[in-house]
Amino acid sequence: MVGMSYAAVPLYRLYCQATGMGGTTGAGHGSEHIESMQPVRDRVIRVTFNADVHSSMQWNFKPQQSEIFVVPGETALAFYKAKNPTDKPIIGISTYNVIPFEAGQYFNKIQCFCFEEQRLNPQEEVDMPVFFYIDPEFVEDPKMAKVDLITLSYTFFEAKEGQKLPLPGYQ
Amino acid sequence: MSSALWRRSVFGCPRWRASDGRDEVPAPFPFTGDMSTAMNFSSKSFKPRPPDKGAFPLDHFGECSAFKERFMECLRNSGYESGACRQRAMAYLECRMDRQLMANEPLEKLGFKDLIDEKSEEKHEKF
Repeated sequence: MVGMSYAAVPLYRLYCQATGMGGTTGAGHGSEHIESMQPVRDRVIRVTFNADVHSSMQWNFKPQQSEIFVVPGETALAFYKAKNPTDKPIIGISTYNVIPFEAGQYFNKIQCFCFEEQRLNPQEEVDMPVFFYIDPEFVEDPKMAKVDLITLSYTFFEAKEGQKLPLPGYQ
Repeated sequence: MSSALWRRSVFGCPRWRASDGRDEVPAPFPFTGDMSTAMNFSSKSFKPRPPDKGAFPLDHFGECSAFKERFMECLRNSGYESGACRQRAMAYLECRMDRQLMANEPLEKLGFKDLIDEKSEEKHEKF
């Protein structure tokens, strides 16, 4: 029903307020962890960026840098750019993927533009930042010893009536 | 929508409860529930996690574009080395905080403790 998708956003926020307030992810991903973590300078990781839109989504969406070299334990900033080239406002919502999958558990986004509806007016173009870090525990995982390339891939969907994306934490 | 934006800009989005991505319950093939792994035959699938501090509000008016441009210029000049451009990254985030485009947070908690300490050392030296 039409109401469901409209209800999803405020319901999602209510859920956020009821259960997320003050709660951490339990694996020490809080600010204290970020404040105290030390960069591991001898493991340089190349992070590449990929941008996709769903076939029916008309935004132009692309990364503003194809790659960035980071070290675990140090926060990093990167940008995507999105433009609505049509003459109607379009609301998008994105999800992301990290390859290799096993590196995803060490890839922490402090703040980005995903999982929330983003509205672009006709002809509007915006910068979309991603602020992230790779957890220093990455270097202690023997499965990650040969990983020096991580690809971050975002995909935008159009948030349409009746469409409900499986948002993490909201199942 | 706008009250949510106000709330988000003042208080920040509350922390999400998220899985830590380490669970290895095999997902029933092929309905893994996330969009990217329908063709993936392995039992592990990538579980996206929400960002720790939620989503950045969009900078509709480009208020911090100049800071972004300076940061991107630094990246290009340094061969895309993130560590070389942290000062400008910090300046960009400060711009966002000043304009209610990001929840106010002490910069130490965003991983810029060493840059803050450097700044305050320089100040002490001057006096």
